Amino acid sequence: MRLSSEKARPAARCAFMPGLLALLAFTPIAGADVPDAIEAGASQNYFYVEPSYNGTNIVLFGSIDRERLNGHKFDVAITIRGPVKPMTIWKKDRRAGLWVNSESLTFEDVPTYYALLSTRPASEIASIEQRKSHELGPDVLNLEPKDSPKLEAQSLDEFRDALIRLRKRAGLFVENGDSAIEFFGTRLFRSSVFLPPAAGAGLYRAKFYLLQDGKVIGEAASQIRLNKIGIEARLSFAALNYPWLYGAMAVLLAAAIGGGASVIFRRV
Amino acid sequence: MLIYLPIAELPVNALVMLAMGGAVGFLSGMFGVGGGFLLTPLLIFAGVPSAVAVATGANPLIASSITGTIAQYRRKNVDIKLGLYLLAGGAAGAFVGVKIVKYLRQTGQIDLTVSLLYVVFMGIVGGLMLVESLRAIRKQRKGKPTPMRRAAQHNWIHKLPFKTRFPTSKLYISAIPAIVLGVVVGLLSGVMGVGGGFIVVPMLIYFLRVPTNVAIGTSLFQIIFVSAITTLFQAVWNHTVDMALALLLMTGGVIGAQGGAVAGQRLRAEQLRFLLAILVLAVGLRLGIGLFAPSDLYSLTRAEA
Repeated sequence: MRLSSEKARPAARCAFMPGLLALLAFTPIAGADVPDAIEAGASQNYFYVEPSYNGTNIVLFGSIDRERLNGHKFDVAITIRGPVKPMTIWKKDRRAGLWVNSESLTFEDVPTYYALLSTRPASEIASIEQRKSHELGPDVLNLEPKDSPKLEAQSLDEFRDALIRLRKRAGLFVENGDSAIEFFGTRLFRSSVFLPPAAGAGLYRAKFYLLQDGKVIGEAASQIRLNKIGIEARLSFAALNYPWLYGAMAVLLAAAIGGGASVIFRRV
Repeated sequence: MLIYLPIAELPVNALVMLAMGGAVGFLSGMFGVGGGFLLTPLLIFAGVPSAVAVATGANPLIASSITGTIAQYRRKNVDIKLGLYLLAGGAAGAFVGVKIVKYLRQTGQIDLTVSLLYVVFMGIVGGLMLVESLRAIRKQRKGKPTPMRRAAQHNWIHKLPFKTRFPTSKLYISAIPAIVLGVVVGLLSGVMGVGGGFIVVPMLIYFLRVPTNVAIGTSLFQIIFVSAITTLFQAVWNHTVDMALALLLMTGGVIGAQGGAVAGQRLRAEQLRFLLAILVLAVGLRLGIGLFAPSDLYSLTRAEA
């Protein structure tokens, strides 16, 4: 466990106190005076997709109740899940010399984004059962194939592994178990992760886990909303809901630009 | 300068897109083709999903073909009657083409089909143009005047029924080949996001014996409508037209087209065709690599409802 030095503590605490106080004010406390073993939130709960949007940094922070830990070693893990969408994974096969998409498998509820941030690699901080039940790590995500395919278990795993690999490569599944959580003093922690632009708009859920001896002993949750606004929102709304109007606008815009150009450049 | 595209849902460099539109516009001004056959592959190389690239590729063609048609109309190179016949077929072809795209997306074959069509068409068109332009350049070097190929007086196309007079083209031929040609172009426009100029112009010249200048003008005229119909159909059925991206491409395109028209007058016709042939073959080759040596056996798409 990496802890900041005693000297750095007051400064760090000062910087985070206002945010933390604000957070505590909005966090319902379970049981009148018994604080949760872990309390946490995001520094900003709303982000907007504007024309200049190029991904955003999500900063998460919280505190742990030291008294519950009995001085033993502990770990903190955070998962962030984006909105889910059904996704199809295709496998290419060589046919007549060409590589053609042949087999496919559709998974329901694939998060558009998933991140695991933890003090140590997932396999070292929790048992496989605990990891599966809390979806700690991209490899234990509960990805269910749509309409039970005739595939064998082995090839199901093959598709699932390929999906995870492709999402990781695109930066949309993230696993950082190398001191991804920074501690300020003994109680406060902070972590941040970059949400790439391809992750898309929607509701993101962050879950915070306090682990000891491979078991989850405390949980907290928070939400982050990423919304399209202004021109981005209007265009994608129109494209989906008023497709005829949107198409006609696209045609008229092009016609105006083409016609306008030939008037402007006539004498050039 | 990055701009987040609302439909493609990814940020692109606005200057790169303006430059891309400008380069394609430059070429279309220089060679008198719409440039769609270069725009769509370039968008795909830039990381735009192919469904969005195909749908959005058709949109800027409206602008460039209107500008081109107006310029050609002033020189009396547009055969409106012939254009309308092409168009009748083109509307039907575009309708079917956009439906095919929807089906191909559902069956996962869209990328392959688009790449394959590009490789085949670009290979054929680029190859023929390369051979022809090299022959012309060689003859030029020997000092002989380049003879225009004499059109045969009649071929089987002239024996078809429903003969119609096309005064601007000085032709009296059947309406059937014009409509069939229109259907083919509409299909290509729907599936590949191209205007089809690179197919229509040679077809009009070699099969229907339309004079070269009129073939270029008439092709541009019908591309306006085919690309407008395609844009509308893509927007309605596939929801994949990205207006923000189209605006960037069009802005670059109209500026580039003016520069291209000036540059086109300074180069010799066979040299122009040689350069275009090299370009067409290069893009076709780049797309072909993916068909024979994919970078990954697996690919991920949004599931279709």
